[in-house]
Amino acid sequence: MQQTTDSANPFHDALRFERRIPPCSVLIFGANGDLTMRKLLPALYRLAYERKLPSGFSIVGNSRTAMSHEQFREKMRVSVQKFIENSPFDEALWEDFAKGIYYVSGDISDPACYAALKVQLDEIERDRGTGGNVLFYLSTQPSFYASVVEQIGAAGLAQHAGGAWRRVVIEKPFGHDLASAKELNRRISAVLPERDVYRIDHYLGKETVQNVLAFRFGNTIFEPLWNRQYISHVQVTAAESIGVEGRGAYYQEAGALRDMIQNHLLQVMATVTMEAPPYFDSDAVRDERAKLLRSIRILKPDEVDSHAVKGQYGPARVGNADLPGFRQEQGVDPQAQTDTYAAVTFFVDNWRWAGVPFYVRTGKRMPKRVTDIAIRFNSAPLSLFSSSPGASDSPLAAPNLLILRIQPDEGISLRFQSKDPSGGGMKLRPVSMDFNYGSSFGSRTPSAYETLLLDALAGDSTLYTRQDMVEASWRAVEPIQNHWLETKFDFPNYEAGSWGPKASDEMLARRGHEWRIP
Amino acid sequence: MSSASVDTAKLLKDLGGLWTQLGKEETEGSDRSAGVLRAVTMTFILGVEEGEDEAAASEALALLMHEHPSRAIVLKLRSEANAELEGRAFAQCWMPFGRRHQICCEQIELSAGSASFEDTASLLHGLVAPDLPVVFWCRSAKIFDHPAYAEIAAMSDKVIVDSRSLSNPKAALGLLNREVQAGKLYGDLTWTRLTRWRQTVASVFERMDCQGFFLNLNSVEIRYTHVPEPIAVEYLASWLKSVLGSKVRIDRVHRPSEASWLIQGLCFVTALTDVVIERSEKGIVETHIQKFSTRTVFEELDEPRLVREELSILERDPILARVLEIASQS
Repeated sequence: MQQTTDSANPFHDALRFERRIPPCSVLIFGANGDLTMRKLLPALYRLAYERKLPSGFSIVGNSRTAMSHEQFREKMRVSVQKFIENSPFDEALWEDFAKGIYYVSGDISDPACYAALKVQLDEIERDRGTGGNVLFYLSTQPSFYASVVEQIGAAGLAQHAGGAWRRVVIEKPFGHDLASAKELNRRISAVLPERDVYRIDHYLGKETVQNVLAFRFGNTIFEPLWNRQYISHVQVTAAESIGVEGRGAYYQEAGALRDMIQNHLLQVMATVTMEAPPYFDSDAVRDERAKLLRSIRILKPDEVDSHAVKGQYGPARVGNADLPGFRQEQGVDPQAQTDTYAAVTFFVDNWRWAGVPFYVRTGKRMPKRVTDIAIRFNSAPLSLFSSSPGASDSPLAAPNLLILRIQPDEGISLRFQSKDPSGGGMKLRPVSMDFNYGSSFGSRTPSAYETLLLDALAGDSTLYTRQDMVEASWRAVEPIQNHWLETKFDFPNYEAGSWGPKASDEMLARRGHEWRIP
Repeated sequence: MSSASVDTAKLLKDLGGLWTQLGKEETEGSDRSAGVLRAVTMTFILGVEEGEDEAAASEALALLMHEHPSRAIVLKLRSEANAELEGRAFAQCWMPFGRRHQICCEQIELSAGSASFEDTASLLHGLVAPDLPVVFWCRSAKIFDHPAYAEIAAMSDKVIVDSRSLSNPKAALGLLNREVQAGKLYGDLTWTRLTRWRQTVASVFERMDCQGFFLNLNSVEIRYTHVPEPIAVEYLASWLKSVLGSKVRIDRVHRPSEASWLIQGLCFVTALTDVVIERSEKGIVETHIQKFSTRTVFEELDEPRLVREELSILERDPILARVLEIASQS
């Protein structure tokens, strides 16, 4: 029987019902890991709670650890109860949800494991009416991605005789450089077509990142100003107050540039700067993002030092706590050259953005956790109120600033000049007009994983990154990465609890700009 | 306060004064908050009766304000018929957990007895927040029957009622049908309560193995628990008719029960097998399709939750329009 289409179900009410998801299963590789327990299962349970999942929905977990279905269910119950956010846990619902949870232990490098998974999936299809639709979720070590997909293909799991869909979700990092990303893509595309490959970047699943598109393309008043004529520069900040939190060994290999800028922040930057798609469709939106990423100027080796700053935090006392430096963290090489801070000046070489610097920074052990995008407009062309501290030629000048806050306090602020009524005369003072996501829409915001999992099940890849996007963003950071690998840095160069190395401030100062304090 | 003292300008001035005062508290370093956020996304008119239910209405309004910060205008129908028009303005503030800003919404209360209740409607024209949608939740059967209702409804972009609590629910569906066919936006909480039932039915027919079953469907049984037959049954029957057409018989079956819910279940009948969707206990609905069964949580539905669903739909609802058309013909 053919899969139902949107028009096939006459009972559907698009205005009131959630998006329709066809009957299906999710098979999680690495199901005994942190991501499954902290994010995936709580997100899937929450989707079930909100009746967003189809009846018969099933989950198959796989890892090397030997466990029965029942033991796995119990383990998942404990983690869902522990990690579910802003949501109640309902025992009765869990009982029903857990009936659809299965576990197959096995080594992902062993073909026998896939044969056992096939038996389990066939059984589920028969007993729970999933129609053979399967979403494979790779929550394994990245080094296994390609081989797992190849094994899926070899076991005949990548296709279904009845024409049901088979999709794969891959967590970042998608390679560790351009060559490895290309190789990964080549091996995956030999098994599954690009339309069935979902590369997850959870930043794109955040409501506020999606709201950037609504803000830009759902309104008419900002877009005419959204170009080099009116915008002086853009600052993208993703700061974390925590250190590596026990992930020192992993982080030591990754670093801030690879861990944050290559994927999350370049995707955010692309969302802020892309052209309007002709329609809101996954390929149309991703085409525009990809075009933008391809327009990022590739730095020459001799430009890297002036356009990028690498940092690593050292120990410091913050409040009444003595914070260790990165090299003192557990599992970290005392001579590590890892970047725990990275700041890059990007340029987008297209008609709209030519000459506008995009300052992108990210770091660990910064003064606070904040992610935002600050769009700083040009100063007023004429200084009418020159005696004012807010005048455009004054050191206190405050040009218009539009801030898109991704987290926390999600919202949008616009800073503009206003006449200060006190003291008489034309004294200007910057004031802020705030839109706060939480206060205007008090309803619960779905987690990024809820949004993205639901999208993958519905076959909507708008918020997932495509092969050409991954490669374009690697191309943009690779010269920096290569140069940093060849250079020995004198670390640490910033204190824990500070806003990063001095060199980063100097990078902006060379263009007459300065980092704002978010 | 006499009726002469209640005018739009004064109420709006009082509101302005409130914001100035709140701002002052901030600049004077009050420890109440680190900032006040004035939030208005619509004008929300709530029609209530003076009496026992007033507290529940206020509580519902406060909850709704958190998600839909609005200029709230409470129209209170006093129990004393000749009570004069009175009005006051105040702010409702709260500090969301973990936030630095205190969020405040403005609220105006107009009250009058039945004799002068129409005066509240005349004041409303000047009190609605400019350039934002106006939603009128008529929570009182007496206001629904009052001559002022038509004027208040006319100035609103959407009207929300609960037909099951009105004096003549069937007649109310007729009025809603006429209004909706004329292009007015209406929400009926009695219909809204059925969303999850309808969603559960839709999910049954989402299953590929049910497509054949759907073609062989003979009749559908709507099982309800209390008499007289609830208006929700009329809605469900009309909805099923709108989807299945006249070939499939819709049977309404009374299954007496002490349960607090009105709809007990639905049974889709074919010659071979049945699909049964039935409430098994409070909060749980079980679906049985041949050997397969699944559970759905029907959590407690309070008024704010229902109104919230209606507030998310500020456009024409073609399914409700069709259902009202069928229901008003039966």
